[in-house]
Amino acid sequence: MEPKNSSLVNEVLAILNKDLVSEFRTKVALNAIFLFSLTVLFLVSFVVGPYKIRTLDQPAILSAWLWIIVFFSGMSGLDRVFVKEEETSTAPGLQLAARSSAVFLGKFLFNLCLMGMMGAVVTPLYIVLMEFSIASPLYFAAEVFFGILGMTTGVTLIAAMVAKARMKGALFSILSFPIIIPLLLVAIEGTSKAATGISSMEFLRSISVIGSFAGAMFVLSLILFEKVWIE
Amino acid sequence: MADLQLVAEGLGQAFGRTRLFSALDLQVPSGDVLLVRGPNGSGKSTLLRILSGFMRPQEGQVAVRWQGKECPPRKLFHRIGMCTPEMRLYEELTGMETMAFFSKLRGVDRDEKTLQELLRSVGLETSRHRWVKVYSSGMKQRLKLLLATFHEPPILYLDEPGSNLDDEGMDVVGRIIEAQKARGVVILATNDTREFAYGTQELFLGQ
Repeated sequence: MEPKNSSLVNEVLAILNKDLVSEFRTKVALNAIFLFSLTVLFLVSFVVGPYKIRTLDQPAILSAWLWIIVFFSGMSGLDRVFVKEEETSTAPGLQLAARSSAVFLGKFLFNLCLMGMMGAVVTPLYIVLMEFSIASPLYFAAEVFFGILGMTTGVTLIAAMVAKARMKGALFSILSFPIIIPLLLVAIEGTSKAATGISSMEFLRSISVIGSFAGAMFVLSLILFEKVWIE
Repeated sequence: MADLQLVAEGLGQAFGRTRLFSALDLQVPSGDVLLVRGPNGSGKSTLLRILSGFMRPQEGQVAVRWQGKECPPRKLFHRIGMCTPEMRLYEELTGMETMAFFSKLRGVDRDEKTLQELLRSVGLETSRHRWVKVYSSGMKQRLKLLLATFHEPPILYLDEPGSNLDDEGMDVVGRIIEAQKARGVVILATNDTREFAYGTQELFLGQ
């Protein structure tokens, strides 16, 4: 039999485009992620605010809270990309028509778009509301970006696995948490140091750990995805 | 016509204590339509899932023989056309967007005018810019039939293709099966007497 005529890139872009169009029309994942993140953000800022934390502790505590908001916001919507395909029985059509790797890459990019949008809205709001003083804004932004990239890489495969399970509920968070913890710890430390002032060497060390995690998860996900998606 | 043959040897499947079929041997060459009949729950849809590679059989094996080579159907997903009640459409896309999406995935280079013509062939041209969500069940079935065949697959699996279709829709099914016979293999699972005449081989499950 002849190989597929379509290129991997075309398939990935078609899936990404379909998911974006579909999401902006239904707004299920967008609403879940933004409602959760903004609600927690405003709760934290009103109840705790910046003044109840000692100045010395602010970088570490505020960084930790930021990542808690980012992590659980992601957990509230990132699994939708696969759960929806399974629940609406559109998965078999996609399994037939697209390469497994294209499905993974398309869904990964879609999740990255969602998390990127959330990060772009929530992070500046959080900085303003919590009066989070940041000594190295560029390094801080890079830590947030790479942290989100690593997190999205780690959870996209888990989202595909959860979508196949009968008891979805909290399974996504439960499975994701132990895998993402090392990344979160490094990201929290990185953003905390970027807030107090970080040297280029420290920044590179932090980013290389996150990058290695994301790279390893990405390769592993690409290898394992077909088994999860087709079986 | 593609020189291929769908071959199954010793297929057996049971769910719990309910045995659907056992020691099932099939050979479906190009140009043949295998008509699979049987009462509800006899395993027609399960057999289609096994023959298409969506499900591994408990016993036996399935292969597609093509130009002297043998290949499991799972490796040929991109060359398969399939329309079953379990497969649904993206409700928030329009008919045209659905066609454009799958033509990109299938690597079938079709411009908007050609896609429009294809939609016209199944009577959906005027509703091509409406969301699939507002389509009637018959219109959805027509779109599913089109999606299963527009890339001209050598193997086509149809499970109850006439469900929810009016007489005009049944003509579409007839045209699709006749065109497919000239192209390759058709596996047709149905209990609709109007579709029995298409079969060139028959398998009755549930005896």
